[in-house]
Amino acid sequence: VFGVLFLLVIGYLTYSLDPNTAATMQLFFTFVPVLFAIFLPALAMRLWAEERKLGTLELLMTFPVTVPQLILGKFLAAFLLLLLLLVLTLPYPIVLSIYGNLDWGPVILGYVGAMLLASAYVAVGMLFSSLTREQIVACLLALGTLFFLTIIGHPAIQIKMGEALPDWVIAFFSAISPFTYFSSITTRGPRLARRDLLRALRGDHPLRERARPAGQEAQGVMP
Amino acid sequence: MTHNRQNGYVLIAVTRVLLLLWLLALVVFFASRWRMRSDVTSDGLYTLTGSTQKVLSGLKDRVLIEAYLTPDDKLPEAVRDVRRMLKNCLDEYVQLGKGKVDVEYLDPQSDNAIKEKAERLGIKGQQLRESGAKAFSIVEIWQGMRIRYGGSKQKVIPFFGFSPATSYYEGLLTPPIKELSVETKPKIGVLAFPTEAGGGNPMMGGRGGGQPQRFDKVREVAKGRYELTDVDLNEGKLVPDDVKTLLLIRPKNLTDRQKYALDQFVMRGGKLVVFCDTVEYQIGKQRDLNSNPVGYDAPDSRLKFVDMLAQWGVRTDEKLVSDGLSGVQEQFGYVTQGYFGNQLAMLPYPYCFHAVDKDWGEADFVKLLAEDGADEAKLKAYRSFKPGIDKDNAFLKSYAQGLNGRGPGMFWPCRVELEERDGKPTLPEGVTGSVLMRTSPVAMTEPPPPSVNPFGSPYGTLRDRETAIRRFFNEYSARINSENRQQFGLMVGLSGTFPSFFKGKAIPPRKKPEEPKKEAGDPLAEPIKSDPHNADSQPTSASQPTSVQGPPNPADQAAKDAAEAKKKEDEKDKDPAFLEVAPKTAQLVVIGDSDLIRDDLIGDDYAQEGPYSGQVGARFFSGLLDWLGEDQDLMELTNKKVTTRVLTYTSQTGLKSNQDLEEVQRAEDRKASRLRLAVILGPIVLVLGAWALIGLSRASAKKAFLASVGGR
Repeated sequence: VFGVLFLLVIGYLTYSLDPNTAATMQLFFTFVPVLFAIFLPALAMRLWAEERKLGTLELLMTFPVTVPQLILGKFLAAFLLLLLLLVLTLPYPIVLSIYGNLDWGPVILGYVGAMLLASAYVAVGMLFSSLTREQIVACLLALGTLFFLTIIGHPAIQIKMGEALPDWVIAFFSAISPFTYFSSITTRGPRLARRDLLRALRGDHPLRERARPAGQEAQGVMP
Repeated sequence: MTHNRQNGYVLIAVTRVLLLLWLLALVVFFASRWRMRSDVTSDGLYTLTGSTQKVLSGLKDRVLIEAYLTPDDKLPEAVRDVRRMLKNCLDEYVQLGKGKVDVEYLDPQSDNAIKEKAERLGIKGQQLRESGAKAFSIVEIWQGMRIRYGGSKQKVIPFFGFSPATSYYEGLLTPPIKELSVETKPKIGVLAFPTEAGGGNPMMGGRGGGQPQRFDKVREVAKGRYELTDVDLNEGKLVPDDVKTLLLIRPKNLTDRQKYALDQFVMRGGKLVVFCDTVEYQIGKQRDLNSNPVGYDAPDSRLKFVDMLAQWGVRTDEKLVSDGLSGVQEQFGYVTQGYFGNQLAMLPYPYCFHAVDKDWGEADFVKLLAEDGADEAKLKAYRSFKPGIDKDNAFLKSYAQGLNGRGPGMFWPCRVELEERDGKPTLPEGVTGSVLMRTSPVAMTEPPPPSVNPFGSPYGTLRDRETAIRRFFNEYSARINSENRQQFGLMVGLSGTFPSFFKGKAIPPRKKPEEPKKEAGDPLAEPIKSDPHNADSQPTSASQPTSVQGPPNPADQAAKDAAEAKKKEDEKDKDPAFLEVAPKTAQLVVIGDSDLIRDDLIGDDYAQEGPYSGQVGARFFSGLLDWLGEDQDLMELTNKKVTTRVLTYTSQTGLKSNQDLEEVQRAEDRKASRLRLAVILGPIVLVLGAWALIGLSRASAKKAFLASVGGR
């Protein structure tokens, strides 16, 4: 059900084959972080919470595997399922390339980015699943956290937030949001680096220029 | 004991977490310190070209880019994302500048002092219409830049547009940076002959109607990066040695001595560009379009300019070229009678057209001809048609990619070809060349008609005008349909060691200004005149040996000084040794039109001309100079290739001539819709199928298990 819903939503929302439009997967990769943030908690919520609720965790611990192996096993199970879903979206770029000379470089890199993003989101989902017995609680906690982490990196949201929050908070949000890094891979969005953070702390954040007093600008002499 | 063990586990877990966090912090720190960037797009969309890299690596002083920009949050939604590309591009400049380039963002809308400063620099906000959810609104956008170099030089870009392409911003930024940082501008000689017939058209608001036109506006365009200097070939002067490139614009009344100067310029390895015109059509106050022949040679000239070009492998004649294919023609605007009164209509005009990037041997009409079973000989001839623009040429490559694949507009051009025999070029030994621009195959040449005015008398009624237009095109169609389909060259480029046109010919002497006639006196008192061509061939009176004894006479000393000065003057005027063959490679470019860089056309002061933009001609001129090697740093900038990536379902060449385009579009939409559904639902069906299979398999396994344990 999870897979069918994911494929239906992402296909319906992001995939277009309209004649005389650009052959690009940019919209697909723009939606991927948001959809992962919504769908992944549902996948990850069962990983530990269900084991604890049904009391099978103790049984699991008696198996001849170590705790890190168990964690890795559960992580890989969820991650590979997501990977399978990403593979199932491959017809999208293939058809685009047949009819529109698709540039494969950004698409391949986009898929690599989506894989890394999925692994990070699965890890967050697993964390919340391990904290509670209730699947729904784990799902809601993961959903809230991932959704928050995702949207605070979006430039449009940052502009809105910038009206109320100081620049260093915006810069901090940029730094912790996976969206910042994912969009820098897929759409060459703002890259956040130490330099940017320092600029933000000086009140010169790249995403939100503020007017400088006229006296501060260079006058006649190069800085 | 248990308590201690638990404490030990907690300690180990906390230590591990702390170690992990420390490791992550290290990774983040080093990742932010050493950035690695990679552009994976096949066209290198986000990578600055080698041109920019060269310019930035050659900076000797610091560049400060002051960007006067409306903040992102005040931009219309539609262009907000595009702004990011500009910032990325500026960031690339900073990275490539390696400390020599800095960018300062300034917001003129939040600080009046900044706004006033921007306005003083000529940077102004522009009104942009934004479509909101319910209504349109007007927003003011600031998007200008000042580029400062070394604290003393600056260049201002008052406003520039929004583009998702890095190359757009690169094209804006790199040339001014190059212009500011260059220490000595390359010198380019210009020998231009203004038109005699008038240009411009005051009827539709144009300026300078009926006035002779010069070629000064293109010089303005190029003067930032080049020093364009007028070359004077009068009084027997030669092209100065420091001029390596000479632009000969609309040659007229050339004397033999001037031809000799041009010949020797090429022999010395110079780059000669000729903008030919065999005839000019005046655009008088009433847009008469009457012909005025341009004679290349002076009346007393013995040698012909076209023969000189022929000696170098270029063939041109006095005929006028026109192109009958409406798709490549420039349009004339004219007033006509419409449903709602008088209205402006556009008229494709066969004497003003573009060379286009199309392989005419593979054109649709050739394919249709093949399908219709045309005779083989005709088909073979048609398939031998060449592309309109030589894409292999570094300069013209950019025209093939942008501007709808159109070259610059040619106005009443003449034919320019390579000398050939039996269809093969016959160029002088050591010379190579190619035709760089051609007409479409639906073209013809003809002796220049006395008038090429399609509109008839300006005093006639609108009905008279319609009648005149019909008559003009009926006659033109009749003429062109009686011709075989063929292409004509519009621009050629050659390089190599050209042979001199004056080999075996008498070298034209210098003509010195006539000396004032002296009163009749003692003929023995007259100095002996030297040969005007060979100044030191005969001794002058001052060089006669003297046998004066004793202290020098002051009068004699003065005469001696005068003789010395004259000797020096003669030495200076003496021609350099005549070169029969260029010892080093020279370059020759001949273009069959000079009107394309005429002031009225470049300045868009050519009313009723339709969508033609004079900027194309200016760009052509500027690109031509860059190509000629004076500034090859910037060639890559104009030639950046961007592949078109648009979804198409029907091949244009597969279209039948009688197919309804709307029907084709509807069919495409249907196909796209079906395909989308299949692509989206296909994987879902696959998942559901796999799910069903797993379910069935589990059910069967369960059934088998139950059967094995004796259940039902």
